[in-house]
Amino acid sequence: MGYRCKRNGVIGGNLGAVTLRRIKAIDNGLAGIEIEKVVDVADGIGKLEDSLVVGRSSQWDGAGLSPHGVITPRTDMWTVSNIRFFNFDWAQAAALGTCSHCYFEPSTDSDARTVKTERLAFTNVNMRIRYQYPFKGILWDQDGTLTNLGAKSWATAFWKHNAAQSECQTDRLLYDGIICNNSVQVRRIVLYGYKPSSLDNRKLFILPYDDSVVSSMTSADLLTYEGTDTNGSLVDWLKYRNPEKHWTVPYVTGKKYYLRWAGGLDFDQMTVEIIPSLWSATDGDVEFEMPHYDMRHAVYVDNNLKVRFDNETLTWAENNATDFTFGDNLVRNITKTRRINLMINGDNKKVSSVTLTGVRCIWDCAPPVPDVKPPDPTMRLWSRLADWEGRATIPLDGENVVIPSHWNMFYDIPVSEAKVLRSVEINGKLTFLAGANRELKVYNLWVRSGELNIGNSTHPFPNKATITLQGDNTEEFWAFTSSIEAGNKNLVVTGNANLYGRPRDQRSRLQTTVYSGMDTFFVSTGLDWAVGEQIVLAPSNMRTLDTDICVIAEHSSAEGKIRCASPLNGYHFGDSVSSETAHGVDMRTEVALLSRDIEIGASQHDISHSAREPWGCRILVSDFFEQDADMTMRVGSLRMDHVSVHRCG
Amino acid sequence: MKFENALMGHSKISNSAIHQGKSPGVIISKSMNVELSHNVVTDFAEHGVWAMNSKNLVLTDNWVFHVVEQVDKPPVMIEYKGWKGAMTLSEGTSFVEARRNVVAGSWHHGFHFVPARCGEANPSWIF
Repeated sequence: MGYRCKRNGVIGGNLGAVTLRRIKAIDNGLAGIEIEKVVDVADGIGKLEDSLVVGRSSQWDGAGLSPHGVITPRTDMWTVSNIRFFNFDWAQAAALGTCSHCYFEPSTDSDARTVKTERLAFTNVNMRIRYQYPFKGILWDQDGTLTNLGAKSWATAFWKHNAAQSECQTDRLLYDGIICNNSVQVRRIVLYGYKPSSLDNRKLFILPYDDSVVSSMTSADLLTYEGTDTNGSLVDWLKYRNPEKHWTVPYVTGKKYYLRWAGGLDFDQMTVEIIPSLWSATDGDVEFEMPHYDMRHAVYVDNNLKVRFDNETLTWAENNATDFTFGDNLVRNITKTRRINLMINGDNKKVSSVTLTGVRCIWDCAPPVPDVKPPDPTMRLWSRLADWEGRATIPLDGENVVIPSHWNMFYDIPVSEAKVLRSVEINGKLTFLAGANRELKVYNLWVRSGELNIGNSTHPFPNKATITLQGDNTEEFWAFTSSIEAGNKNLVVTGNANLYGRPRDQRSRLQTTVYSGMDTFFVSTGLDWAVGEQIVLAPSNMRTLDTDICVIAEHSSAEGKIRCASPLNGYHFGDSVSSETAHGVDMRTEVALLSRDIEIGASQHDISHSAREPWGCRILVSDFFEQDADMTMRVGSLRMDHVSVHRCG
Repeated sequence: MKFENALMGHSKISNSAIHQGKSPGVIISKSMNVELSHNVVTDFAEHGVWAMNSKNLVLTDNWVFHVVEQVDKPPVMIEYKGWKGAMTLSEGTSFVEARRNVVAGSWHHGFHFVPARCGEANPSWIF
């Protein structure tokens, strides 16, 4: 008997082949009986049985505490049998809890651990279960005495992707989650071992995705469904433990789920792991459907036995009406439907994990540069149909445009008539024609073997030139070589890009101190800064995040006076005299012009269903070998002077 | 902006403003002959300028401001890893000239230089 203890009446840790029997635990502060961990035993060996747990007796009112009767281990393979619970009838007191010591980082666990229960009796119990952090426990009720749903039923923490299943019902008051009948199972599946590391800290979004859920949806409805976070579960990335850096959660089996990561990020590699000994041959399969946006000519699917699956085995298995294997998959790489489907089950007890590795291209990512000819110096105008040789129109919205290797094309389209092009590949020469403002709107701009010129080192472009890269986080991903991620919404330079803007007065020091809430200050006189342009003010005290960006609403060059369109947030030290002479360093706030006449930026209206904000653009400079007969090497060089790169990255 | 495997060419970014992104500002990876001069790089996550496994770089008179851990999350000091900061030269980067650069408002480090060891082999460039 253990009673009236501040923490546990009885606690056991690192238990092997141990049975705890005939324990009486009464009036304990944290838990009547707690089993911390089970090691090195098969299912059914470790057991707590034939015991009595009283939450509070007539000798104690339980004030200020919400104990558990039994806290189950942060490992699998434990059974709780023939336990009678009395008087868990106040505050958050509950008969059962899960994941012992998981709230504490040194001892935590990824959870979704399975504990068997049988022959439980509850008297005066308001909460039969209260899950503990990280709130993922699975209780397998062998005889229905926990859930009242019959033998082999389930209780598990509340996750929307499971709660939506028809075999399950939600009861947050009595069960702190969901209970499911015995026509399904609830199994732990872990995602970890991923690349790239930018997936750190990202939430995993899981949606129910059975045909019964989505088959009647229109395309628009489906996009909305997939894009609405509240339709499914948002699973936190957890750094610790077993394994580290993971997304672990229970799944109801026999179902299909849609999984994507926050921000619409792709994985290059991901391991999917189960504990096969917990799965039975009759368990339903779980199917994951995971969108990807980067190119995937193939996905290597390798299990822990070093067996590599062909792609498309899922289709093959369906067609042949055979059983699925953990690793069967379907890869779709069509631009509008880029998905990886993976089948998961525990049929083969030796297969505990499958690793997916994306392959952008097998051998050649891009076809060879077509039609290589010596350069023709003849000036071609983008706006002149005759210069396009054989086309019925000049390039229109949505077109893929290639500037052949011998062309000398001048981009002379007025800003108001700029089309939104799908891609532009430059193998010859493309030059922005001076004399008017220009804008090139394109999803992907590739200076492949040719040259892009906007001004030059002796004659900067005299007008405004804008390259606006288009697309959201799902559109127009492409690759020019397998080893380098090109992404989407990008300017890729594997040739020569020369961008020279009109020289500007780009820097000053603050002449007067600015306090939070002020919108007016002084900088050096004689600057060429204009209304509507952006400037940045560095922080100048210990508040690291005090950097301010100001849109100029008013500027007197003669006085050096600037008024911003909105008040500044931070403190910025200013003075008319530099402290450099006296103290060796100029302490005045740096002020820099961000706007330029040549601007490379990202469209701001492109918001996808999976990232509800505009997606940034990218500039990539690289060398690579063409996969032509000569293995031609491309050499990327970018020369930029007085250019603004805005919202890239 | 990223230079990756840009080995045989020569790139120069000067007098330019690279600003307001949600990931690193400038990454120079496995590249050579890149010059950044008189630029302002501001308002990025993780890194302002990060050169790794690269060679023959010139970084002069650049201003790098406001580099945070993650754009959509309040920064936390304990999350420092991977040499995040305003200007980082790491992982075998060699033959670098860095002069008169100014960094401010970086949540983690301002400058972090991790030089190559004497005699350390060149990085494993792609190809």
